[in-house]
Amino acid sequence: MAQLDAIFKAYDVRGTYPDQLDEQTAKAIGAAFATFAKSPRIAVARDMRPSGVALASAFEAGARACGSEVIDLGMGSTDFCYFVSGHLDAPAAMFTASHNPAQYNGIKLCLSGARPVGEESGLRQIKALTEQFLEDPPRGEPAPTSSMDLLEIWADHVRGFVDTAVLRPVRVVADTANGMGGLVAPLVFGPLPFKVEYLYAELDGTFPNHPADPIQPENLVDLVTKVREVGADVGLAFDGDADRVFLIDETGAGVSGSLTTALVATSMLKSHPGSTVLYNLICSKVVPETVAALGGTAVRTRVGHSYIKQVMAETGAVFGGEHSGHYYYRENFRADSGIITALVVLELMSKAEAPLSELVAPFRRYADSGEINTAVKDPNAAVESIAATLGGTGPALDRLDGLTADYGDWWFNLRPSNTEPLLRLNIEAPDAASLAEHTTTVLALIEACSERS
Amino acid sequence: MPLQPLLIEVLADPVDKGPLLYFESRDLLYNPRRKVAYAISGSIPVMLPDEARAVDDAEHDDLMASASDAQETGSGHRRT
Repeated sequence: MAQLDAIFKAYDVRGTYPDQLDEQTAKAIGAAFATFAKSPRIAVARDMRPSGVALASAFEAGARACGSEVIDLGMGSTDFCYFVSGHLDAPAAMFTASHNPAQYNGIKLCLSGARPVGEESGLRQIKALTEQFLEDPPRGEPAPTSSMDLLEIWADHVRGFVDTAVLRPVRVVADTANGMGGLVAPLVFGPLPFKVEYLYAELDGTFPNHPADPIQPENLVDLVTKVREVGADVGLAFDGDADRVFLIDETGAGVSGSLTTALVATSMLKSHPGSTVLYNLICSKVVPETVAALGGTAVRTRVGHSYIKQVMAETGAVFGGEHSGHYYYRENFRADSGIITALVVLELMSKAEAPLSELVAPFRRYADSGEINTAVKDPNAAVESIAATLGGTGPALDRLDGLTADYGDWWFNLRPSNTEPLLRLNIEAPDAASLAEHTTTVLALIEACSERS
Repeated sequence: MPLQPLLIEVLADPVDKGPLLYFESRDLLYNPRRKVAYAISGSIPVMLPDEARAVDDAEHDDLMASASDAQETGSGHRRT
């Protein structure tokens, strides 16, 4: 039995197979998506999870029964699927549960041109239609289906983001965590002069080596060890569907999403002078400072890919970064891509003939807390109460997303979780000592202003 | 236990958004404009309007008489 409330999330569909998300549900979602998108054709791709074959096939049957021709793209990364949506100007569905464990699967949907589908931009209607199709399955004469292999075209598109003539034999270790990076990274890097060593490149949706979630430091241990062992210039860690990448410098130190955003912004502003660059509000201040110093315009956004893509469309921004490791490119149909990001960084390293630690050093100006979660009874009420308590005496308080208080030399942002009774806190301060002090203060503030259970 | 200095810098009254007086010896934060006091439990003040305590005129006068011992909150805000 379908549990649609459990699997329809803010930006995608995600659940365990087969108890939450089974073939019957996938077929109904396929029918619902075709009905919602009203497109003569829909592209479908999947990652390497074993359940993906049956789920994608059921989804395709549902879409075809509602009159949409299906183009089966086979296996690919999520950024590949978004590219195809833009390239063919067709809605697309990507079967993946990103970095989640093996028993999960899910669907990321987009409209033609890789336009995002989230709760507020279609997913709610698709859920309602799915409910109808579960009760009354689609019975139409199936529209045709075909398969297309667009991976090489996509790899060319990715390489088009850099000047391949300047690339040098940078030594790279890529940990693809048995995820889709194992397919797409060799495809993109193959004709380039890099010396790439792969860790866990075999596609295996049971993730036998480590979870495909590079935001967790324990999943970077093998990569860091390998980078040091072979004396590599850079380590790349991809998540399960390879839309996110995390960088490790040659010393084994991680490069945060904010620092990566600043780094990529330098490249994008060199090739697109005076452009706009987006950053979400939990990114380090180093991002707007860097963008402004290079003559660009920095625009601050809420957290989440649908907001970034929307503001990107409104502002014509060339690039956008999120602290979580998502990097968006105008020339990539405004979709995010891990491999484009990796390539842009490798181009910067090639040009500078300098190790990554040196390229990043100028951006390591501040100390940040990372995300600190605090359990509270009512996260929304707590944020309102904290905003009131910081009230009238005039810090720069803004409510773009949750609550941001900017005290000049330090700032914090608090956002209520949408799904759990949690407050997510991010703090940035001039150095580790003041960061520790301010973190204690803000945690006390949260306690002071939250209803006690 | 005393409040953290940085917390004193950022706090305001959640209702009128103005500064509060921090009486360390009495373990309370006082808003003389609204005549309400916020208790401090451990080193954490309870900044919830519903849990604030109304202060009568006698206690208000007493508190204001020793206001020179109190510290005003919110200086962190005015700094920027």
